[in-house]
Amino acid sequence: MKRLLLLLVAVAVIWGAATLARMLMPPAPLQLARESLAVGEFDRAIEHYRQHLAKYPDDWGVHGELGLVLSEVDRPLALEEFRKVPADSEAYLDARRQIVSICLATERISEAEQALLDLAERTPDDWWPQLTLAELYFRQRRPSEALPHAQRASELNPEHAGALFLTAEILDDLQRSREMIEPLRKLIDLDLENYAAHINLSYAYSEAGQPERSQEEAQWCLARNANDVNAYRFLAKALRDQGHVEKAMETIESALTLSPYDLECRLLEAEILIFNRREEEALKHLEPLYEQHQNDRRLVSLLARAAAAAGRAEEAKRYREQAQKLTE
Amino acid sequence: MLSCVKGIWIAVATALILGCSSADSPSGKQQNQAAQPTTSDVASAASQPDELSVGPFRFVDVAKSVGIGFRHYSPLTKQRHVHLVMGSGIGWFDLDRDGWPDLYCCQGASFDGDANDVRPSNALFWNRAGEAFSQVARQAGLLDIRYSMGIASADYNNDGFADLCVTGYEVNTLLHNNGDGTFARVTLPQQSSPGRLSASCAWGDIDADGNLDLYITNYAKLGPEDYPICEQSAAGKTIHIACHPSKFDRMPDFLYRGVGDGQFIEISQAAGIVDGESLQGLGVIAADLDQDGDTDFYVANDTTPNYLWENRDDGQFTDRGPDSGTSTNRHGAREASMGMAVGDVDGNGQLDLFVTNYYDETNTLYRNEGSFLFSDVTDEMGLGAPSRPRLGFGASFADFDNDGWLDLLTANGHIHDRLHEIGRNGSFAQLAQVFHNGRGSRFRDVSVSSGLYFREPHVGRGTAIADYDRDGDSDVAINQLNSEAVLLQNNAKEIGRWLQVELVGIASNRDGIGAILQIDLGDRVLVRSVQAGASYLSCDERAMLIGLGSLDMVREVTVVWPGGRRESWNDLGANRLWRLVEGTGSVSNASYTAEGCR
Repeated sequence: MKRLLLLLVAVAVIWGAATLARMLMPPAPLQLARESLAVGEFDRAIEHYRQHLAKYPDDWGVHGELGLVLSEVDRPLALEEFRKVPADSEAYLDARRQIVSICLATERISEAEQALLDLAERTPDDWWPQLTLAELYFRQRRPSEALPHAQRASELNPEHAGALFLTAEILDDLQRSREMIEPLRKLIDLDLENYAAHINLSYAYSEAGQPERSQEEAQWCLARNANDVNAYRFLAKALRDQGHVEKAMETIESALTLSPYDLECRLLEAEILIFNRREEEALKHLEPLYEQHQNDRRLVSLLARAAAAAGRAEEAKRYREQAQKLTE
Repeated sequence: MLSCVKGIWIAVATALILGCSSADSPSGKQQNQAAQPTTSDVASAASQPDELSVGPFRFVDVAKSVGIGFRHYSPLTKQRHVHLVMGSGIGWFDLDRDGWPDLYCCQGASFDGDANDVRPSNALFWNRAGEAFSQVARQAGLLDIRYSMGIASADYNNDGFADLCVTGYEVNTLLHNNGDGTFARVTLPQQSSPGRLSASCAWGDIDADGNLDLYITNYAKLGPEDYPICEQSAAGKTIHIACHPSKFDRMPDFLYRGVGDGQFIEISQAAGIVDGESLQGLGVIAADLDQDGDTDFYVANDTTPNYLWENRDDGQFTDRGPDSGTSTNRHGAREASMGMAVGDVDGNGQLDLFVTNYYDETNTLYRNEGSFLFSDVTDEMGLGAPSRPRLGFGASFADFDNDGWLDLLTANGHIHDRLHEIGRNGSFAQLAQVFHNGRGSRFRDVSVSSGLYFREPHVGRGTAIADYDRDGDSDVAINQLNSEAVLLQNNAKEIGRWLQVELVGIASNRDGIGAILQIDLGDRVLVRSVQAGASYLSCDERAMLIGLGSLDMVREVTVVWPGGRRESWNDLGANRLWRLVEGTGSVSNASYTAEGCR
């Protein structure tokens, strides 16, 4: 018992001495860096981090911490810091993600792409690099490359609305509008009230030759937003495609009341007018759009057609020649 | 009702033919009777249950049961050489003037030159009174194992017997009907050329001299050494696919002028159809599109602007495609343009044009407004949306229910068979479609109720119309890529009365090809064009079947012969064949002279 007591006293003395010693010694740079960061002193924190790393250059986690701090004040420096993190480090994947963020923000597209491809390969079950790659390619007007990544992102995270919508957008870019239907329907399954999905679905159904469904979606949209010009246009097109030409005309006129110079609506109106052999009216409604849209092949072609039928040979010839150039 | 109508026809046809046909059955046509299908086989096939047949049409594929055993042969190579996916045509003509249309099936061929290759031939099926067909290609001297594409039949030397033009890969063939059931090969200028893929052909009399002329579309020069090969990559996979037409060397089309005695000279350059850059021609139609008395040509060019060659009446042609509105669709977009059909679909007295196009494009219907001005009315007429998910090839206008309005049939099927391997949509085999014309105001897709054939996917190519069984309605033959040929017997439940008209030209070409028929029904006038060459690579029967609705008499039929001379016949009774011989009619309501032989 006495021995045990002596042992406890000895331990207490040693602990007390150690504590005292610690209190008397200056704090470590890493601690100082973190404390500086906590009070918003970025420059001081950076200095302390550098001190730490000078002593422990292989502390890759701290390289990452420093990189994060630097990214608030100097992105190129931050990038340098993240680049130092080697592939066999635990901090590597986080560092790669940070590189992607900085590169995307600073238009270093090539490095972002490489980092993303690296991440995608190392973490094949992670949807984030797939989706980010898809966005990157889509913004770069490289839809063919974007599509498989968007689709993979959706597979990995089926409930990610952004991935589904991006997939639909990419398919539209690829002029594969019919294939937009599937992701947009999934998106609506996730979020029944997703307006953007419904209006795009109306368009996709129209392009896929399913006017009845296009009509349903357009009407859904108009029930929620009676001022949506696109919804009116899709509805008008669906009605036209189902043989309700007069109703289609009434609908497109509603859209044009809201937006008299909407090119797409005026084109559809002109098509119906030409079908009804009212070419003079078509010409009258299309001509005001010419100056602003003279490189739109569809507009110029319809102008040529309407002018020819209206007996305006010279105008028809001029429009026709221009349409041919635009076609080439 | 079916058997009653058939009986009437047979009686009439027999009476007419006995008086003028000097041709017997072609030699060697006698077949083993035991091997032939029986009437009951046909009846059995025709009555297969079809619960969905609630629409206006009903078609039953009777090819096998009537003895048409033809399988198209075009094995696809690993590299997917493009001509192997283009398919072949099919054509109706009356080989021996027995009054029954016979069927010619263009055959493909392998490209690899495999020593063990079977190399099947083109086929000719002789129609035995509408109940059975016998293969007579060998006896007729028509065996041909080269790759055949298009066919058009016409009596080009005015001897009363239908001759043939058969186009193909590297060789085009002109076949003269000897009148004894055999054919002789006739030399045609530029008939062969290495790597040349010719497509459709059509006959017409461009100078109204009574000698038929011939237009042949040329698609491209494809090898043989530098044959374009293409790949597509997606989803981590690379596959060969048939190349886009822009990858091919183009060749100008051919126009041949018949100079009499069965001789032809090539006048493509002189006639002005080699104008600027050559384009990839597929379909061609010869018809008097502005009804000024001469024959014009409309040519479907793949992914490039279509030609509309206006006959200027001075031996020259001018491309009116751009200013007529027929070179592109309404938005100025060039479309894939494969097959085509011509006919007055809205009853305005003008010949409208229809073109089949690519997947995700619409087919295009051009309404003829007169004076070479056309309007793309595809969407408004109900043909846009249904065609977007299809890749169309064959296209035929025919009045399937004899209500006096031209209906439409399209054969569909992709050119790419491996899209699914790279995650792409677009089935190789696709559903054929048939549309009912609602009195000229709109077409309605009635495919699903029109028979089993329209509910199963196929890789359809050429289509051709004939009333093969002479029961007073239009039947359809379809050639399918690497598959069995189809004969769709029309079994529409409610069918109107009809008139079958066959022209016999005297000063004009013997077949009256290029003539316009105006059939006065009292409340309106039907306009029909006599053609030789239609759809995609194919040709319809020369005799024209005209639906009359409930009329039992046609007040007047006016024929505008090539050259513009008009002649009329009055009071033509329904449900029979009328053979109208040039010079026997009148413009002043003179009565019809029943028969005449050249």
